[in-house]
Amino acid sequence: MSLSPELMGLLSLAVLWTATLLILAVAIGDGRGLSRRRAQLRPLDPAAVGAEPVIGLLHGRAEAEGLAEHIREETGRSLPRAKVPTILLHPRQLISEIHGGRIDLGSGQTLELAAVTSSEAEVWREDGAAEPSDVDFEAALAEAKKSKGWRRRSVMRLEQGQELWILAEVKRRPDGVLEAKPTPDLSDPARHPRLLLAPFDPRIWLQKKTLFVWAVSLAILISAAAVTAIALIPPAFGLVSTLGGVLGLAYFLAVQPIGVWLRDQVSSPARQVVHRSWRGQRSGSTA
Amino acid sequence: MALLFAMYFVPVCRNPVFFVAACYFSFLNSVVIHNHLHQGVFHSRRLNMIWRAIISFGALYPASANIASHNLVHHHFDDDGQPDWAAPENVGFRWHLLNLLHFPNVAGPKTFAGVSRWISVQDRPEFRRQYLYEQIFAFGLTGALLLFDFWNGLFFIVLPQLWGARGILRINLIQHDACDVSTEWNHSRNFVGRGFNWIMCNNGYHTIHHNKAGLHWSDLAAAHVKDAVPRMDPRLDEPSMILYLIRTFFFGLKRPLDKPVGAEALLPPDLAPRELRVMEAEARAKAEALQA
Repeated sequence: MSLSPELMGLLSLAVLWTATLLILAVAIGDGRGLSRRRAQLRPLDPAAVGAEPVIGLLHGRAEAEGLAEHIREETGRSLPRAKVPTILLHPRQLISEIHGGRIDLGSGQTLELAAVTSSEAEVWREDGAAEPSDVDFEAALAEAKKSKGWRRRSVMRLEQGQELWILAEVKRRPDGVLEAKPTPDLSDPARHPRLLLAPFDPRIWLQKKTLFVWAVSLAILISAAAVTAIALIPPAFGLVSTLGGVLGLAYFLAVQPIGVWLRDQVSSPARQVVHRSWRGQRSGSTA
Repeated sequence: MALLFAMYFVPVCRNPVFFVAACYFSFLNSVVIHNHLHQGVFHSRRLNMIWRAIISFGALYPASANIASHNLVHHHFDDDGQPDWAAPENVGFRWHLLNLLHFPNVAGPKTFAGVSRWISVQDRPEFRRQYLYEQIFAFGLTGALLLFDFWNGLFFIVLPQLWGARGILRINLIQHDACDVSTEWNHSRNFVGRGFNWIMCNNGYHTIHHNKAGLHWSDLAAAHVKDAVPRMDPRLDEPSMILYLIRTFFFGLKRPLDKPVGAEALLPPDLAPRELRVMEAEARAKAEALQA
């Protein structure tokens, strides 16, 4: 029995489509997860919350400093071949810490948060603030050139008066203050979402990311269909068909990193692993 | 390589026997990359470097990538605080067979991105040159074969190469899934069948290989019995990989979740602390990279 070009062509298409469908299945799962999370963010009217716990989104302002913080522990290493002195920052640990405190929800309503461990809560961090500004670049670069690298702890604190969105399971205490309960069952995020504190509206973020996942998924599907269609244009294994084969191979090699990139793009802003770079200038001052 | 070229150039060799053999040997080629990057096959440095380039073609990835991805990160299950690039947690389908199929689609890109980052922060031009030579040889030769005859190149060169490269990534899932990588002796699953280990250069003895990476592969079986077996959960010794694959991925519809519990606490560890082993591995990698 010989392996005919037709048979091997089918095998190649099977490999391509298996990878495509698996990557799409993960993307669709992520998209559905984002939609589910978005659905949990139903705005709550603080005045309507009673003694029974309810899950929903509240909006307010931090009453004091030190309510919560997001910590990014990083190792910085210099890029020896970069034209401009550059430190590549590798996130070692991403920690959300809620120390506890009060949030003014307006209209005389107050929410009290208890201290919560990192695994039970998420403090979202905005994408900006890419470059550290609290240290001297040259000093950091000197450390980054050593084998241990430059250790940095980048802390985003929620400031007093800062606008906040809070997803929590809340109930009213006898003294009238609203109280966010610690998450009772972390293994069941659909029923008991993790306590979330965000300095921006998480609904907008989730909506954007959901649309992004669907758009990229559609692009992946269309690309796979297009290269398949080109490869199958008669005569089989002719010039156009071969072009389809070349495109199919390129697509297969590209779609895998695209799938990984897509997952990274939609992971929670509290846990997103981003390798940032900090560039200095030839003169030594920071960029 | 002979099988690949035979299928590519000689039509009569394009049959299932040659194809299956080529896929198997491409996987074995990846096993050889693994062993060679732990301990060079030759005494001559130049021969070791030439051999690295040749075996890079067999599985279509630069062999020296193993220094960062395997020797430094995977062996300690840690990328400076972040998970191993080939951690089983990279995949999360409920039906475990899909995890086996999908794993290389995630671990492959993560590994290449990680290796690129690692190289970018190293001030080792000799290593970069060696890495480049391996890429030129592996990708250049494959590209030339595709250019000369695209379809036969794709069917009889690239498909077996990808089988080998993706197979060695899948081994990470098979050998560490549902294990406890935070422990010293329950982080790996072992496949202890003699026949399997004969054709796989003793790569079934994975616990002891992780803990004592410098041991020559021919010494692993004895060291496994002496050091690993008394300390590990006995369920992590599997008599046959084939039976394990069938049981876990084909008949098991759900991913096994129970973590192993071993006797490691009851016996002296007989092992340097992990931090020290990481430092030793980094020193070895540095020496290796400087040698390149």
